[in-house]
Amino acid sequence: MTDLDELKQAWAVQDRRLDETVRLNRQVLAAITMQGARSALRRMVWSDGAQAALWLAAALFLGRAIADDWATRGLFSLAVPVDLYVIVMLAATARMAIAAAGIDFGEPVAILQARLLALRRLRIRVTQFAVLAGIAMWAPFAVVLSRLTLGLEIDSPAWLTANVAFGLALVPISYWVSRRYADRMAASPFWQGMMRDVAGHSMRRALESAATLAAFTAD
Amino acid sequence: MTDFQDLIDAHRKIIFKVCTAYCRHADDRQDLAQEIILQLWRAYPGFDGRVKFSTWMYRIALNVAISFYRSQRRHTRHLVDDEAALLNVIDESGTPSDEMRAVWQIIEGLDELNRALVLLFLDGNSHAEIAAVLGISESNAATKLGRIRQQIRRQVQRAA
Repeated sequence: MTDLDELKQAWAVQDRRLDETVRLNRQVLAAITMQGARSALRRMVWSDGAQAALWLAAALFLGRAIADDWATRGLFSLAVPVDLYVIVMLAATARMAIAAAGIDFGEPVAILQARLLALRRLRIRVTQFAVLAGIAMWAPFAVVLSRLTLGLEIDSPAWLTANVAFGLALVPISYWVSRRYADRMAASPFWQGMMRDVAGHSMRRALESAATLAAFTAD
Repeated sequence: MTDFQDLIDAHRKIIFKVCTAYCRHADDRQDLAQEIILQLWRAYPGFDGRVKFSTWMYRIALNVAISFYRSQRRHTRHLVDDEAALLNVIDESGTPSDEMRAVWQIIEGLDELNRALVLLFLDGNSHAEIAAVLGISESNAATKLGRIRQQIRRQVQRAA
């Protein structure tokens, strides 16, 4: 067998046999089409949409608090960066939900795969931002949250300075830990996925897939 | 729903061949088949007949399979009980012919996009149909098939 056309002949023989040997279980088919709503993509749209709604609520809550406490300089300078973080996350999750909702698997393969890869790259960048910026800003988060929800005042500049510095120091450490240990987290797919995103492993694979797709579509 | 089920039943071999081309394990094939059916069912109201049903079905099956293949993780999710398999292959115990073994070996050696191209070619689709499914030009499809042809010849010569 030396040629693709010879393989095609063998394939045609196999194809005729498949008429006799492959059966579709109509009961299972009916069950899938009736119960339906659990595809991975659909879950992603709902999850992103729910997250966007939570980020919106947080942004409004913080915005109102900032407006009310405009004169309180200590809270203002901490709440503004926290609110900016929340607004970036709101925009990113809303964009991901809209992009995922617009995915149509009936589009030609090259077009749809390019869309999916763009969504994948966006998702990885959002995870990197959420984790690394979230770690860096843990101290402002703690101060603003405890003040607005519990009424507790943390007004020690020394505590704040030390913990902001600690948060910033944790960023490169988190990156290093993710790079070094992501592959050993096979027992926990969620954490492994997040660590691979943070470390840039997932982005490298997504870029490789994008390059393969670009080479495939190039005339 | 009956119309949809009849159409899917009439084209069931597409699902079988795509699942076999992209999944080595039977469990994965069942998961992939279910995911393909689900996406077909979701997209069916939007099917406007501008392309042939088989072209539209190939697009969905291949898009889902390529995404599944890229995710490269075993799904633990099952829409239906494992015991009730969607795709039943009656004579699974039958030994595949040498020719078919050679075909599957060649398909397995290709990346996910060229795998789709060869699958469509082997299934008897014209360059125009292949281009419509994959979203590339007809000349590009022909060029790529020519390269794969040469690659197969070289493999066979090396093996001889």
